[in-house]
Amino acid sequence: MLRKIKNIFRNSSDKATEKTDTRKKVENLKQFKLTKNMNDNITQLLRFMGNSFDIKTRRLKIRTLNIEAAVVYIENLVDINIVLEYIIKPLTIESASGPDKTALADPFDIIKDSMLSAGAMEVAESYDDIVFAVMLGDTFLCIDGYSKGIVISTKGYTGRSVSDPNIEPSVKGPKEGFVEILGDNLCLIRRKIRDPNLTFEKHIIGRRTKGLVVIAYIRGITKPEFVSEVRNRIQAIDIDDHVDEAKIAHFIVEHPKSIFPQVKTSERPDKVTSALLEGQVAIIIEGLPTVIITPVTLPSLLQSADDYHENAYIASLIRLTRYFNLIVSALFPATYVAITSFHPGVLPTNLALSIASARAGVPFPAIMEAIAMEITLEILEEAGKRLPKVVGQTVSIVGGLVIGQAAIQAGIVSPIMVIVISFTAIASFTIPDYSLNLASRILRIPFMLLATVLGAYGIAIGCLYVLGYLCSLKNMGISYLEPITPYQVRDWKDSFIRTSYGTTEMRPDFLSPEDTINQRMGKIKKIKKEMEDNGQ
Amino acid sequence: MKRLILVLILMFALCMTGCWDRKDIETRGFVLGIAIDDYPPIPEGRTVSPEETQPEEEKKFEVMQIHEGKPMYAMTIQIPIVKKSLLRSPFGQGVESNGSKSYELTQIGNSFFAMNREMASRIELTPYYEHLQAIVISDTLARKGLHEILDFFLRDHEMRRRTMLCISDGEAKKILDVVPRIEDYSSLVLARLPLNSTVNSRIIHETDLGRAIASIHDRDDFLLPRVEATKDEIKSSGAAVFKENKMVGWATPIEVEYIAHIRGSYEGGLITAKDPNNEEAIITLEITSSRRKITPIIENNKPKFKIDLKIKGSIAEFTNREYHKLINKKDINKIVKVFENKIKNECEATIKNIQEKYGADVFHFNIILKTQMPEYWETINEKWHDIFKDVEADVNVQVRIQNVGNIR
Repeated sequence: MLRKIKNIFRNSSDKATEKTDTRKKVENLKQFKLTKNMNDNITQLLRFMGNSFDIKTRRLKIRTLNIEAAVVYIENLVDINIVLEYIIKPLTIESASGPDKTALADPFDIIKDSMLSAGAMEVAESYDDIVFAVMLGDTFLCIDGYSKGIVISTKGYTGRSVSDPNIEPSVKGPKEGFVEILGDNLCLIRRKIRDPNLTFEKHIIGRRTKGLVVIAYIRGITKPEFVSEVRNRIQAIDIDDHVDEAKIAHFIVEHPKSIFPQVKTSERPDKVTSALLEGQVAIIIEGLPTVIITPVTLPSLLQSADDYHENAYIASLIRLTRYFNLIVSALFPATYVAITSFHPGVLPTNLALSIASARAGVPFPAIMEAIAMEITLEILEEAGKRLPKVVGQTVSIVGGLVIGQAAIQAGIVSPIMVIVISFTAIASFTIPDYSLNLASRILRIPFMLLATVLGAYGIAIGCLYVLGYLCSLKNMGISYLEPITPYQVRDWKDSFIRTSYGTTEMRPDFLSPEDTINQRMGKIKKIKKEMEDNGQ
Repeated sequence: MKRLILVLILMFALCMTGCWDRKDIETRGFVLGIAIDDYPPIPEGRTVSPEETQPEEEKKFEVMQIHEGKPMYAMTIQIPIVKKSLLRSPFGQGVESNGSKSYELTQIGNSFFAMNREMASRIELTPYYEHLQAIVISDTLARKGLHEILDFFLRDHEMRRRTMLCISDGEAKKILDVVPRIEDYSSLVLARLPLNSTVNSRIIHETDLGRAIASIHDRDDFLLPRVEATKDEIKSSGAAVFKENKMVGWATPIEVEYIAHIRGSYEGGLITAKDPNNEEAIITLEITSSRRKITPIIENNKPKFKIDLKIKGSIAEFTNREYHKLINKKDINKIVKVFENKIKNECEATIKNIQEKYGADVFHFNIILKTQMPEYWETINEKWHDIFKDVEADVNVQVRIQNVGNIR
């Protein structure tokens, strides 16, 4: 019996080693080099790539050099026009006539330097470079008689064009959002910052997906430690696929288990741009329309693009409302539960009586009612998200209006609880960062439970715990609540409120930027003074 | 291990404090008002006709077993019947229920706390006092002493010092039994009436539990509003005059007005007088501000008070006046004189009357002495009530009419 079990284990471990073998094969492509025989090379390459049907090989003969060559590319990843016009055409038609150039120089160099009219190209010798390049959409040109080939950049896959940001719409700001194509995203940032110091650093993540991940920062503003920290962490990532921003974020942050988002994800180029200009680091991932910004703090998660398109007073008011909403979103149902079941004395008498009368027929205690409503809300939201947009309207009508109304009339929930939960939900939607919104939603339930057991005292305990926890959260040496605590009064100009632009001459201090000055007010002040003097 | 100990300490800290009295809001009986009468209601020796007594069946539960002594008080609490109030029907098909939306529960005993707990055996809701609006005390009880009754309402943690206190002329329970026309509960009417003191100076304000008790402990005399009731109306009319702890009598509504002037607690009201030129016409002055300054003077080791009243107002009404005649400056001066004289005389008469009838310093002259002449006050502190009886007061009134409001 025991032996049998042992055998099973042995078998499974054998299988495991087998698996790692195949995996090693993929990884160890580096060992394999091109040979001088073109046909061997091509078959070897196709074998490595599993002989998939979409890999196309075009053999050709270059007349003037009297040499054979082959072009390998993946049909749907390349821009076929480039392949035809700038690679195949010059090698075949244009070289069909003309003098023999064999004597002039090494044919390989002639092909590379003077025959191909495509843009970027590289010489490749090992298979891993070639396979990876072909997978990216480049074209491999293999020349007979050489143990090296040419990789020509012909990437040309199609994707969505730049359109409105869906998750973070703004009233006045630019109406463009990131898309899934890395190049387009880089271009969106480049177009906004024409500073040669803007640096894009390429990294490849994913054993199998080999996704491009770009670290963007501005040299001379961003603290170099941030960049090296991010770089080290990204280089250390060793996973199969890269296709989730949450996955990347998980490896970058210091407390990945926290419910609070410690990176900002944004689909707005203007947001990323201003983050870069403040000295943060952006991580752009291939295939994702969201960009990760790090390091972030709680106050910066509550900033929205619209704050910067409005007058300072209006922006400050809106921002304060947002802080209020964050608190409401986490605490309002709990407060309601605490007040109705522990402290009805704090209510104005008439309100206490009307709440009591509203609750008079409800068969459940306040906490059950609250949790039931909360679950209903989650179901409604999830249904709204999953359904196609056309049907989505039905959910809100049936769910929100019909069920809500009927539940009140049937006496299952009290109308006041419906008000409380809907107000909370609406308040939570004003939080600009969706992950923070979700975090506040998660906090709601434990707070409600605390309120049920201990009343306002329980809420106080919960708040203390959460505050303490927030204070202890740190990323790259920056506290989560900075600049509130540890306090840096100068940075308060852009935290709870946003002071007018004239007063923010310095970049936020907590990011310790190398170049601290943001605006130079000297000239404006001088002009103003001159105008005043002239006026008098 | 250290961590465990820390967690344990925190858990203990958590369990040893806090409020554990979880109770859903609809299971609490919000006591909105309390009426306190003495028991037995009819003095011994007097017989009652059978019509006057209520059927025995209804009063069966009011009497409770008492640990010690014999029943002295009848306490009535008013609990709203929330199911009958408006929010029950959010879609406008409200059942318009006539009659009382509250339940008045009487218990007889000698300890208010015991009575309160005894009521819990007669009603499914737990009596809850944090929303207590008003306490009505019958005048017969008030004459015996206030502090003796109110001890429970000061000591208990559910009580609030901002509760309205008023004295009923007659049985206090009758006030709570009123079914008001607008508001649902009579206690809320009682609590809100003082808010009208800005337009009617006959209404006494600043009369909550906390202030009354503070006055008693400071040995100050004070007024509490006198309330009367019909079947569906409550009226605040006049005041009960308290000499230290005990009620000594009533002050009429007009006396209350002048007391407010002298005490400096005047918030707004009116005064009427006859037109000096025309006996038929009545002028009404709306008083917008009344400032008083009291200067104590000591003559022959006896205090004397010089009261300067500065009254501002506008002519609100001129009844029975010949309509084509406009008011000119000469008229205004005459009118001002009339008002000044009238207020002066009335004030002095009020002081005299209160001094003679009750000897209660409801004008708070003692506070003036205490703050302005502390050394002198120390010497007469003990015998102030004797001195007050023949204190002289000299009232000077200055009236300024700001708006005439000529109509043409």
